[in-house]
Amino acid sequence: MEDQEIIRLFWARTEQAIQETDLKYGKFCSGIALRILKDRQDAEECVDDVYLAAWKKIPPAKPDCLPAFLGRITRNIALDCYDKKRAKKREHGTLVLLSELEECIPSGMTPEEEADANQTARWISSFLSEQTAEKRCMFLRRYWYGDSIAELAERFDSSEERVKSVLFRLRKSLKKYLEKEGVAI
Amino acid sequence: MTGRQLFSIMGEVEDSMIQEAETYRILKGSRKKKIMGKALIGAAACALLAAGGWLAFRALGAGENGNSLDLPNSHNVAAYYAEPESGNTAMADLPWFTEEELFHGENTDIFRGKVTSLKNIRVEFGEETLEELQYRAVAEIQVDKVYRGSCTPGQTVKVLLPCPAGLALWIEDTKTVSQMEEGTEGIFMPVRYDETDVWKEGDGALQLSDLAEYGFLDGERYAFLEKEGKLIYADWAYPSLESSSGLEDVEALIARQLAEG
Repeated sequence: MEDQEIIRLFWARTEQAIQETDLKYGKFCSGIALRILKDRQDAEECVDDVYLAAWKKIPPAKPDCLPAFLGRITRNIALDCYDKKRAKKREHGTLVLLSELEECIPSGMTPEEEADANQTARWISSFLSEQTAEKRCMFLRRYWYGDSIAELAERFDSSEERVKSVLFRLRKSLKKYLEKEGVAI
Repeated sequence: MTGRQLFSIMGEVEDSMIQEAETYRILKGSRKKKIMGKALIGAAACALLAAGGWLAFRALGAGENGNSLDLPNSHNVAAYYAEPESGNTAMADLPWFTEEELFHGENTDIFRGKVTSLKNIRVEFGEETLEELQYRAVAEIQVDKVYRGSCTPGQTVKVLLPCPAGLALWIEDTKTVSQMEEGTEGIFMPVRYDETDVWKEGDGALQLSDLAEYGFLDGERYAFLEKEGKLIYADWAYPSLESSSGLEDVEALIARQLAEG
């Protein structure tokens, strides 16, 4: 079913909307949740929450890109779940991924700049738009989709060493880019 | 801000990029492991014009502020000492190697020395437009210590750089060598050219040994420079040098690598 049709079902408040979403994007959402939570049961519960959240958001939302919309909800719910579970059980893989992103955080950000998440997201988008498609997608597969290094190596037909090198350079460049943007304000 | 917060903010990047990354994949085997043969890696590392990039140079002929170089083993090509005029961005994809591969994958000489001369050159195969002319630099390095290879301490060798030197140019993947200047001390890992190292364009062929005895395989990973008390090198390619501060640390790494090799 086309995405616009699914959105129309949401607007019509038909439960078929959830069924069609699950059919088309269930694997997509559970993949994102699983990469963050590393636990199948937690990921399944997360995806159920995603459908509930989508039901509440649409309407009034009318997403232009349904997979991105659902993916965002999945990430946010999975991260909240990760926060709750982290106290009980440390999940090394996701911790590594989050600690990698620490390297991108520019020094000297004011609290106001930190609070303006939308602006930071725009800067990140701008930074990524200047990269080659391969580098941009590798960065997003790691830090949006949560792919492991091994998964990235397979997807990009590369060695894991190369993947790590590319991501290392991109993190360094992003940090410089965000620092430059922050100083310019 | 924490990594966790930044990960959350990442969620708001543009939809089109998220969609692109959903399906982007490089088919197995479609990536070339080495872009070109040894002779052309140095040439490909820079000065390939990016889409939208341009380079404005003076059109110089031999003998007009462009002293020509003697190229006895080459044909349908000329080279001149010449300075590029304007900035340009150029891009290339480096072949990717581990630290071990960087030391053992190619037959590089490794020596420590000081740059005594650095001259920019222009290479013309005859068919290029002004914008397509290619620039390199030739460094003369007085060798102080040899870790591997056939050169000797006290000898001065010529090394071909994959980019022009000492200019306000930004060329991707040449971050290290573009910082070389006369008087720079460093450790260098060039390949020694032989008769198979030929740069071909159209029906022209430039024997690289006509320009220099050695050349860098790329502009980032095969030189370690010490300038103003700082070590300049491709930190992303040598994680074991992370907390290093000088050439002595590089020497220690070389000793370890050569012992293991």
